[in-house]
Amino acid sequence: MTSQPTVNATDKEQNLSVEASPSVPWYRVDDFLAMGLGTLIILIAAVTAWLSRPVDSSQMAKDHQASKSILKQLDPSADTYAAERKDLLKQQKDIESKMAAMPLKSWLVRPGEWRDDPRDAFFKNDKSIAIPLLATFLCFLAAFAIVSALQGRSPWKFSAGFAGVFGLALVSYGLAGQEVVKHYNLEYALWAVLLGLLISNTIGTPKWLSEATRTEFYIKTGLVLLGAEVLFNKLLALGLPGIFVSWVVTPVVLISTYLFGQYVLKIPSKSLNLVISADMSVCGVSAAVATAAACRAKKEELSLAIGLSLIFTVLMMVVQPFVVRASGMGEVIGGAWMGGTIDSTGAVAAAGELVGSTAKDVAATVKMIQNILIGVVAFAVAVYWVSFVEPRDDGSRPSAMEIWRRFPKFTLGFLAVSLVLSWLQSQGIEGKTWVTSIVDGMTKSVREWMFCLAFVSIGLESNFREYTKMLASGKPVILYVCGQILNLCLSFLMAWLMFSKIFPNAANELLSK
Amino acid sequence: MTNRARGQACFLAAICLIAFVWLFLLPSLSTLASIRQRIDGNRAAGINPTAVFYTDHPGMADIERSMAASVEAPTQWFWKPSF
Repeated sequence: MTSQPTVNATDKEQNLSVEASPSVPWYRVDDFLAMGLGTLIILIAAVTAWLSRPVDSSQMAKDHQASKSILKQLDPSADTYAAERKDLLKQQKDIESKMAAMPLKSWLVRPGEWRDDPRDAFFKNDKSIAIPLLATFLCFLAAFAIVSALQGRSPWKFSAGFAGVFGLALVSYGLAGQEVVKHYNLEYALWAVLLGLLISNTIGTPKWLSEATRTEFYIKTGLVLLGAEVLFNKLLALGLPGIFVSWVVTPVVLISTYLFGQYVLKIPSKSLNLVISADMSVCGVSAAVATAAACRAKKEELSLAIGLSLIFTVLMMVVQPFVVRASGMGEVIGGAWMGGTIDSTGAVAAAGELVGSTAKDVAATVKMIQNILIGVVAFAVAVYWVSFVEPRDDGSRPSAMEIWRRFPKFTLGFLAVSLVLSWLQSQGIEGKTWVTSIVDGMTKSVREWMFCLAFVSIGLESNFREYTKMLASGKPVILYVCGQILNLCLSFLMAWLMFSKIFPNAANELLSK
Repeated sequence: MTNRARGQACFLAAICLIAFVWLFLLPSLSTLASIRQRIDGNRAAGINPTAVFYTDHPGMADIERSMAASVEAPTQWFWKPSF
């Protein structure tokens, strides 16, 4: 066994995925270690949440059920309906808040919002977050140092580098936390990549820092944790109209854009084409990360796709609300249209709010249903990629064994976590609040940190020249714009068809609440 | 000037630019009425515009609860087409 094991042939090509090799034991492979670490974090979150649940949770669950039953029996035509509905929903919210215990939440923090003094980012509710930040750093450091040791790398060298990468991630959060930057949706991902790029393309990434630029590992661990948020029950959150707007239009746009990139624009890199198509059609950053990892995209391809998504998101979140209001398409159709087309949830909610409260709710719900598609897209892309895109040496179709060997196994972990937590979520209010405790109390914060560390690492390992090469032809931008135009047209058509022609009463119900 | 010195100069210049933009320019912009209105509007509505995934949006649980009350209502408007 060599001291620098697996890791790996594809690293040299700057790809995101790491393949297992017959000479390498499974416990040294990134995919399995990411699955193991992700699962361990979820288990810790689940156990602490279970142990901290209130003693009278059974009674609370009964009260919650009773409240839901009363709500269903209310007469919508009664004068008191709106007020009674509001009271009952508040009652349900209070019960859910009490049942969802999150004992570790205050220990997993990141810098927050600030206006003119960056030090304000390190205070939450007037309390310093220095100690919890240190705890967050030490927990990550310990976990990753163990992983490094398992892979035959020096944990000490990794620790020195990790302190630097973590520090850069902190600065990225700080830059993204300035209130103007934050409220115009310029997310940490952008600043993390740019900071890394600034270092690597000016003074060069120091060797001690590059010991901790483990992009693939951070992304895979983050994606396994993201599985806890991909809950298939949410698919039904807006009934059939929601499914049609989110789950019919989105795959059609994704596949059409990819084919357009392949056969019309003839983009040389299939992985770049696929990552841009997915991040534009599904849900921006998170879809780009999941697809890039599933199709072994280059780091530069991922960051370019994210950059495009962020720039167009800023434009769309400003322009689309004006179009909705000027055209008079209404809050429900307008909300569904914006939810189906603007890339990130925050931007969708902000754009919806400019139209109205109902538009915001519909837009955010459509985006949530679309978010769930990530699980299916990542899995389908991984299968498609190893089966049809990556050729064998002799150019023939790979066998089933070959497909399995090449398959990015972490996607199975992602999907398994998603299915298990979806099942748990479906087990009444107790299951639902347990999942809320796991996600809101722990996995969401860790996932966010993993992605931020990954974006810093991408920047530190990338070269500006790669971006200029990719952008020279202008094809990635043309692909994004053409795909987005198709997305805008089809999403509007489907939203109009659903809420105006097929389910008009559903639209009326949403407007009347 | 060597490549190394040029790189260090670029790095220092970029750091100065970042410091100027984040410590002076952006705080000044945040006092502009149109930008202030947007920021205050988002805050009042409980919106985190940088939410990447639906779980990052602070008001999502309230929206889901409210939607569930409509979608699960006995009228079944979200499941029965009105042709």
